[in-house]
Amino acid sequence: MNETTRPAVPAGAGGPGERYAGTMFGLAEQAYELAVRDVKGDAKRSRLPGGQFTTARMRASLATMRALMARHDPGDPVVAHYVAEAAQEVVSKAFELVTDPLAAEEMSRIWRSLKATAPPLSPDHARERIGKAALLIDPDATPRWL
Amino acid sequence: MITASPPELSTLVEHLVAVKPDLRPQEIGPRTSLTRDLGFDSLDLVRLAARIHEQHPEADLTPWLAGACQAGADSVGSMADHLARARRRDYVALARELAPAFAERAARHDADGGFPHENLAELVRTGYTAMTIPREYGGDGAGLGELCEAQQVLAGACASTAFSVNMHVHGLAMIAQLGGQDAEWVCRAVSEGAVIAGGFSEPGVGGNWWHPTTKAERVDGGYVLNGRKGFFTGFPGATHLFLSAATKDDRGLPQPMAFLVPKPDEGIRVIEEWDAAGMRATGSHTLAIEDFFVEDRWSVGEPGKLPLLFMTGVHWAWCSFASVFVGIARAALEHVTATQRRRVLSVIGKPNAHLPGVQFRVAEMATRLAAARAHLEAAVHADHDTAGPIAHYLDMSLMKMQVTRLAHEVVTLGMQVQGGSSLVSASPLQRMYRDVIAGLLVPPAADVVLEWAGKHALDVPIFAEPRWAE
Ligand SMILES: Cc1cc2nc3c(=O)[nH]c(=O)nc-3n(C[C@H](O)[C@H](O)[C@H](O)COP(=O)(O)OP(=O)(O)OC[C@H]3O[C@@H](n4cnc5c(N)ncnc54)[C@H](O)[C@@H]3O)c2cc1C
Repeated sequence: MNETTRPAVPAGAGGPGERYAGTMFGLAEQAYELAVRDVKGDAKRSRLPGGQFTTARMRASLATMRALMARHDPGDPVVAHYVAEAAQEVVSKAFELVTDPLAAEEMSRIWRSLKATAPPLSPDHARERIGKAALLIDPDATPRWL
Repeated sequence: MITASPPELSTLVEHLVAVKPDLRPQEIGPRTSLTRDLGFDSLDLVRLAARIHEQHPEADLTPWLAGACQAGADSVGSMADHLARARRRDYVALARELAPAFAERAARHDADGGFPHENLAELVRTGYTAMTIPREYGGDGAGLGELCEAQQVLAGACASTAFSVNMHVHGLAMIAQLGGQDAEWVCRAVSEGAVIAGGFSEPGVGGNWWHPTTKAERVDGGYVLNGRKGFFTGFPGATHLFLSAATKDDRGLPQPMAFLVPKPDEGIRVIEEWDAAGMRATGSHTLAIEDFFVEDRWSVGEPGKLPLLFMTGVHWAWCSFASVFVGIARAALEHVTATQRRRVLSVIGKPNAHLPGVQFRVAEMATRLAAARAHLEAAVHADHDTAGPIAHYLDMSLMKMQVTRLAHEVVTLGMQVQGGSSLVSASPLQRMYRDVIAGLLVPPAADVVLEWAGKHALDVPIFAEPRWAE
């Protein structure tokens, strides 16, 4: 393993990160399905390029998240860090597609859950850990920064 | 799984008979057990292993003997497979061996836009260009995973070289999967040094490769081709050209066809030399095809089947394309982290790597790279046989779109981390920056992928007309 693929924390230590990524992914998937159902319910809207392109972008993004969770060391904070950001983008795109008031309400619940679920590491902390690992800097060394 | 080809079996039978001269070769088959059917005892097995090792020092039979005899799975076929595996070339290791020299020459080729003929010659000489010849045609049958990993290594050294040879290695794999005579002669030619370049793009067609405007007119004994091809990567180093063209079927409808022809002296000429911002050393010239007679024997696959052929084998194309751009992103991250650990600004007094801003951006690079690699890997290991052709094509296309976008973001972030020095021509990063953008431009066209994948998810027929609602 070279320095760029070295996980920032040892394998197997990723319990909370893995669970968190799984939750974020699950919410993104729910939002996607809700949006697809909503667009499909309107024959004309499903034939407009805007909704088609947004649907495809969400689909692509979910595929990347799924692959990362399945194939990368789950203990590496890159997994939770990437999935959290990508899930937010998917839910935000899905929000733009729903028109049905009940679906919009459900989407609000998904969005709130997404934002209210605490990550094991804050995004800034995750960036620090991931960056220091890639740059071969001891994460516990002091002073912490230059 | 590797399956030993007949030559390996027959060589093994010779060894068996040499150890036990009373054996009758015609009675030895792949399922024959060494101990139960041929009566090999432990002394015979040791003599056999020593004999084989003498002739093939790279093949160590000891672990096979221990495992197979214990499990009662000591068939001649499984031993031949073991030997085949042991004697097989490791193409990722080969790419690592070749990479340093390619990296050294990359800046010069980029600067003068010349084709890296010496790199291609090395790839042919070392057998890299033969990696995707299947075992049944006498090759090593490198799989998609090995191809993509090796291509990442080459692309990190010289993206233009990797992209040029990519057209060959993946094209060969796709033709080989057709089987039959086409596969046979192409594999033979490649094992003798042939190099393929492929031209499906045309100025009036862009990324809509399934609609060639190059015309193939039926004549006695073959076709006459006329048209234009753009972006013909690897043309200067190719010995054979893989071309699309359309003929007319009985109802006068266009039928896309593919031809693989030895590069001719007449009938095809360069009308514009490749002079571009990125992938400068790929020789991706624009060609005119003028009254070019192609004998029937050079047509590949059945007329009209080209789109289906391409869709079912698309994983070879899109995964290998994606791997080139992942390779550039990997090299960019390695370059950036290495230089930031060394670089000291005198007003700061410690390596830049200790700056929080540098760490945060490097973290975004590493995160995106991990996502790109994972998506590519998932596509490489996906089930390529049972998904319907459209779903398969879309999964692969969405992957290529995501992976090349992420790779582009990695290199762009790298430029920011590195600062102004990344833009000077002595920095390899500016070359990577100009090369990686090609990932967004090579097929499949992102807008077409988004349309098709969106329609597919929304149960809208992909090819229905009118294409969209008002
Ligand atoms: C470095 C490099 C090397 C290449 N090497 C090869 C090669 O070896 N062999 C080869 O065959 N090709 C090769 N290509 C060509 C590549 O296939 C073309 O870039 C591709 O064909 C797109 O053509 P274009 O760039 O002219 O864009 P176009 O396809 O003309 O696209 C222009 C715009 O129209 C949009 N568009 C195009 N078609 C559609 C559509 N049907 N529906 C909606 N929107 C559409 C696109 O999204 C884009 O925004 C190479 C390209 C590059 C950059």
